[in-house]
This record gives sequence, structure tokens and C-alpha cells, in this order.
Amino acid sequence: MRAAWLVLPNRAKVAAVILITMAFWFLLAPITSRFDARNPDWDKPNAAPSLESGHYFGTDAIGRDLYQRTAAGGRLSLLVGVLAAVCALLLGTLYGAVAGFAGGAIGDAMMRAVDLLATLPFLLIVIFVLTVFTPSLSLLIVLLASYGWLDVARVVRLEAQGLMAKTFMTAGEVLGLSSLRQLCQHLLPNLLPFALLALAIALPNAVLMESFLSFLGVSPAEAQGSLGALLAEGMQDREYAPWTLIIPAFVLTLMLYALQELTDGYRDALELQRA
Amino acid sequence: MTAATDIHSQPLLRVRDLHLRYGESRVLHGVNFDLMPGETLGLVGESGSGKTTTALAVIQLLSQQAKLSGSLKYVARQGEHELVDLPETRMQRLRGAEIGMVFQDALSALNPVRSVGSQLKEVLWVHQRLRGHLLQQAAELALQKVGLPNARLISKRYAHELSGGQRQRVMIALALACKPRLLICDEPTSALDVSVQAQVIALLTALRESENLSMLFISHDLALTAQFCDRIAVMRQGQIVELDSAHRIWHAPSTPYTRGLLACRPRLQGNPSRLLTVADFEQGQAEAQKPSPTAFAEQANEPAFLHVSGLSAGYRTRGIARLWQQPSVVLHDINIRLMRGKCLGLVGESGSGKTTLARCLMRLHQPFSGQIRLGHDDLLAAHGSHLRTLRRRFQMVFQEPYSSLNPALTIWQTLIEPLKIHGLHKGREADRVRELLGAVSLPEDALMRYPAQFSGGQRQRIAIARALAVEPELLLCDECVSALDVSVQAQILNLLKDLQAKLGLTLIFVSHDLSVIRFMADHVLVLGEGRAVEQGLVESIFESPMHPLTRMLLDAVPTGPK
Repeated sequence: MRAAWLVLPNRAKVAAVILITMAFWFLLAPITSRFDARNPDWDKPNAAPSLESGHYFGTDAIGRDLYQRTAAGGRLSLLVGVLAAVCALLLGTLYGAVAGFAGGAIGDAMMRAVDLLATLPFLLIVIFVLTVFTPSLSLLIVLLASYGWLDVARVVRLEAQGLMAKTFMTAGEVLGLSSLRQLCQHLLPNLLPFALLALAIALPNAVLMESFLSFLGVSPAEAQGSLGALLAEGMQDREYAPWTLIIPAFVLTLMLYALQELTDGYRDALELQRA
Repeated sequence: MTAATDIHSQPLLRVRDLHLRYGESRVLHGVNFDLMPGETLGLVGESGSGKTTTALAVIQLLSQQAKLSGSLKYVARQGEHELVDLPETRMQRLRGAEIGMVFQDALSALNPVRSVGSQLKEVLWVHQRLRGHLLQQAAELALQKVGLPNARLISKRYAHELSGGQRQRVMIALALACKPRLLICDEPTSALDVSVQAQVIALLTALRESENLSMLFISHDLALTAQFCDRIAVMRQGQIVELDSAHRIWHAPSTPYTRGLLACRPRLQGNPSRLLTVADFEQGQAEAQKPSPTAFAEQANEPAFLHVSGLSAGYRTRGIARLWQQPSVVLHDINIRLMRGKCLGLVGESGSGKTTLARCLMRLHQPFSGQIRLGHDDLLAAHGSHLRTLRRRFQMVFQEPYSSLNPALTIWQTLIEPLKIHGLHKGREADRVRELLGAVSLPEDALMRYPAQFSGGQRQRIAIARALAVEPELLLCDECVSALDVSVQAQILNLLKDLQAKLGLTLIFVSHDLSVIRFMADHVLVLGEGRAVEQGLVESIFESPMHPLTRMLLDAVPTGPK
């Protein structure tokens, strides 16, 4: 773990620090200010950010504290993103590893199925499902994961194919190991770094997708005020309360930037290790 | 040779007190040598000794992190240059025009997406500004000079469309296109078969005469270097430990290290019972070992332990094309009878089917027809869990020690796995693992470490221990020492021979190195284009080869200067 941190490029280290700081803020915001995200301060709708009033980021159209709302929205977005990405990771890694291990016609068929799924109009399907079924956070996570695992499976399968060509897999066969043991003991542990890379790719995608759905107003997280929902509200009030748009937009951008930078840095570190 | 002995001529290259380090690790500590015009200097040493680094310093192709100090004086056609701090733009003019380089791996050194002709033309254009018709002619001439007569055809080809020998010739043509006076050859033949190696060396010898070249020849093969070079510098840990004429190095080396390097190579003649190692010489324990008489009578009555008959194998096209395309047959009608406790050497050029035969014997590849019997068991009839149980009896040691161990498992996990799955030594697996580690002479603290923390030779020992864990009766070694340095090779070969005697192992030893086969094997099978061209006792085949292919393979082995 320490070695991994040392080889990370500086930009990725900065990104990691930003992410950790943001996560702490999301979690600790409720105890750092006397307002909360749900109860409006009826006296001060659309108040500008100020230190004296205690509304550090200002308030929205009905007087809810934006400092608290942004933190709560970020917490929700990150939570949905992480859960969706982890589900995508588990499913995608297993599928990709099996496809790579099986190889030949079976592996090819499995990957063509992934290609086929990737061509479906995901957005339309999500909107359809969310309107037909009772929307809930867990349904949203399942939907996001069901899209995210496709990329994970592709990355992992490619790596698995490379590992299958290594001599230690042949050595395992010569020793008489069963296929299950080869898969679990020899293939999967060596796929772990690449599965983590796939996670790092899936995470910003899930966060962005969730925000987008909330912005459109079709996400179940929208009612709970995720970052996308704040953006949508900010868009309406932007002429007389620009901070309601700028602050959530800045937080979302910073979060996505940090996730992306961390992913790139980790990818570079992996390449370096391999060379 | 004549120019080299002329003491009045000025050296072409003068290297003085060359130091190099990458951050904290020091790679070269004070390298000194002169290279006379027309002379060939060999740099020999084991991996990590700094021979390639020295060559890269001369042509200034080191990475940015390298800190170089000392002096590299090169006398070019127009005046003397100090290469150590020559600006890159001026160095670029020297590369190619004054100093050429031939790399080991021609396939990766040539650009895969451009024809070899266009790469050759590029060099000629950069240095000589030739154009159009003249450029075409010069490129073809350069290819003809390196023994590629159909130059026009070759120049349109891409690197992957050429054979290994042809690629190496193209590399030499590229290096010589602009008539450099110094040619650096970094292991130019290490990736080639012995027969092709002999051709490339003959070409370099001819070019050296006709172009009046000076050469810096880097190799790990002492016999080849001694045969080809005027003088030899033996390198170890970033220093030259001995520099003398090739004749004296070969016949009367003065340092124990060089003596050890020479002695630890298996020979084509005579058969010592074990090889001396460099450590033997440095501790002064080397005694002359008499060749042991390899006396064993052929017991024709005893049934063969490994019995292969009529084995044919090959590869089918993948996908739907297999319906109409003929499978390519790689092995034709191979027959082997091997007694228990004996060693069979499998020789042949690359592409002769050695690996396919090895894979068939290990049940990694399904042959088209034939029979493989191990004792009373029919190997080809076994499938599924029956085959997995049977696998205990035949094991394999692979060529590359770097990828044959799972990097995610500790040595302990690697060695205990085969015991667990075959249910051997129940309850005392830990003792058995320690025993195995002792058998391959590794310290016990190796157990908790990962493969990446070991050298190539140590990893090969671990791979051998893993193969021996299940107490196999047949052990197949597929080029298992060809990736190792000679001194390590000697240790591994001795180890295998000891283990064979102690455990009564039957060995199959696949190698392209005939001297290794001579040392290890009792019987030899020579493969040529998938057929067994010659088969018999090792003495008779090495002393009176019948088939032209066997003779050619034996003649091509470098044996040092007369």
C-alpha cells in the first residue's frame, strides 16, 4: 500500500487529498454549522454567501442553507456512485475473468454479448424503468451498475487473456490443478490491480450519470437533493442567486476532476510497474 | 588484426575511467579500454555486468537519468570528439555515419509498420542526402552487401515477413549503410539458432575485412567471442576484470573469475560428471575432474518406461476456416523408447517441433494420432480428473523463470499447493516444503518472499522444487537453462544431475544448446522439420553423426580459437 502511494504521480496525490478532504466535509458538515439541509431559514430566502449570517454558501429560494445542502448532495452522489461502481466491479471482474479463462468460442461469445448490451440506448431504458417501477435508491444503483459493468468486463477480460498466456498458468495445468482453482487462486489475484483500475474508471462515470439523471429530474435521488438536483434548481434561480448554481457545480466538477486524476495516476503507476 | 598489432597507430576509441550511475545504483566503476582501427574487441560478462551499458554509453543512447562521467574519446574522420559531453545534435551526426549499432532483438528494433527498404532509405537520406534513383540503388546495394541477393524483393518486406537471420542481416545493413568506422554489436546472434548464428558471424567477419571496420562485440558466449574477436575484455560488476588477446583469454586466463567462466560451460567433447562453477574457482577449490566413463549397457529386454509410438501432431486453423483448411502437421511419426532413470536430449532448430513434442508429452496439446505410454498408463486415454491425478507422475520445468511462477503467491504458497491438491504428505506438508527448498539449495527465509524478489537462477530453482514437489517419475526440462547466465546454468545443470541420480528421475531435456545436451543426456533425438532424423546414444551421435542436419548443428557450435 505504501509502495503504491510512492509511485503515484504528484497530480494524483493532490487529487487523492482533495477527495479525502471532500469526503470528510460531506460527512462532518452537519456538525460544523447550526443549520441543516432540510429546514429552511424562512427569514432569508436567496441570501448571498456570508460568514456573519452563518450561511457560508448562501441559501436557496426557500431559505435552505446551501452549505448543508451541497454537503448532503455530495454525500448522496458519492454514496450512490461508490455503491454502483462496486457492484459493477464485482459483476464485471467475475464475468471478464471467466470469459478470459474460458477463451476460444465461449469467451468470444461472452464478449459479443457485452458488445450487444453496450449498444442498447441506456438512457432511454433507465428513464423507462424509473417511471414504470417505484423509484428507489437501490433501483438506481442497480441500474447504474448494470451499465457500468460492461466496461469493467472488457478491461478485465483483456488482462485475463494476457495472463492466460503466462507460463505459470500452464504450470498449474501441468500440476493438475482444477479449472476452478486455476481461476480463483492464480488468475483472480493477479487481476486485482486491473479490477481496481476498472473501479476507478466506473466510479466517476457512475457519479456523473447519477447527477445527470437528477438534473433531468428522473432520478429517485433528485427528491433527496443530490448534486444534480441542486444544479437543476440553480439553473432556475441563476439570474438573481447565481451562487445556487455556481457552488454545487464547482463541487461536482472538483469531485469529478479529482476522481479522473486519481484514475489516470493509478493507471500510469500500473504501467510503470509493469515496464 | 594487422592494424591492431600496429602500436604506432592511434586508437579509434579511447575509454578512460568511465563511471555511470542511475540515482543511487552505480552501474559502471571506472571502465578503461582502447579500440584500435580495424580491431574487434569483445565485451563478455554475465547479465548485469555492464557490457551493454558500456556500449550504450559509447553511442550515447543512455536514458536521461544516467549520470555519466569519465572520458570517451572518439577519433572521427574530421577530428577528435569527446563523446561524454557532446551535444545531442552533433552526436546525431556521428551515429550512423561514424558509429553504427546492431541490436539483439531485430524484430523489436525494426519499425513494424514500415518496409525495411524505407527504413534503409531513411538512414541514407538523413546522412547522405541521396534522392530518387540513387537512393533506391544505394539501399539495394546495402542489402546485397549483407548477403541478401534479391534486394529489391526484400526491401519491400516488413520485419515480420522476414526470417530471424534475414532480419539480423537487415539490421547489419542499416548499421553499415552510411559506412561507419565503428560497429557496435550487442548480442547480435543470441536470439538465433546455432546454424544461423554461424552464417551471421561469417557475414560479420567478411564485412570486417572488406569495410575495414572496428567492432565492439558484446556477447555472453565466451567461445563465440574468443573465436571472433582480436581482444576480449571480461566485465564483472561494472568493471573490466581482465583484458587480453582472445588467444590468451581462452587458453591462459589470469583471473579466477575468467577461469571459472570458461570452465563452467559444458563441452561438446568429453563428459565430466559435474560442471565446475565460478564459485569453485574463486574459493580455489577447483580440481581437474576426469571425464567419468558413462558406462551403461542397453537393456533391450527391459520394457521402456516412456514409450511413444507413431506420434503425429499439429495445429488446426481456428474458427470456421477449420472446416475446409487442412491442419498444419508439425510432428510426423515420432517414436521414443526411454528407460527409467535415463535422460533423453531433444535437439533441433527453432521450428523443428521440439516445443510441440514437449507439449504433447505433457498432455498440453492433443496430438492427431499415436500413443504415449508412461509405465503401464496410456497418457492419451486419460481425461478429466483421471488425467489430473496422473499428472503427478510427469512434471515440467519451463524456459522462462520470470513468468513461470505466479507473482501473487509467496514461495510457500507456490510449493504447498501441489502437495495439497494431490493430498501428499498429509499433516507434514511444512516439513516437505522445507525439504524441497533444501534440495534445490535455497535458504529457508525464501519461503515468505514473492518471486519478484529472486534472481533468474533462484526462480528456476523454485520452479524445479515445485515440479519435484509431487515426486514425479518423469521430468521434462524445456530449454530450462537457456535464459540463464553460464555460471548459473552450471549450477542448475549440476543440481538436475544430482537430483536425477538421487531420485531416479527420468529426464527429457529440450535444448538448442548441443553442449548442454552432451552434458545431460544419455540418448539424443534430433528433430528436423518435425521428423526424427537421428536417434541414439549421445556418444555415438556426437562423435559420428550420420545425418547432414546433425552434422551441420554440431559444426555450427562455436568452439573458441584453435
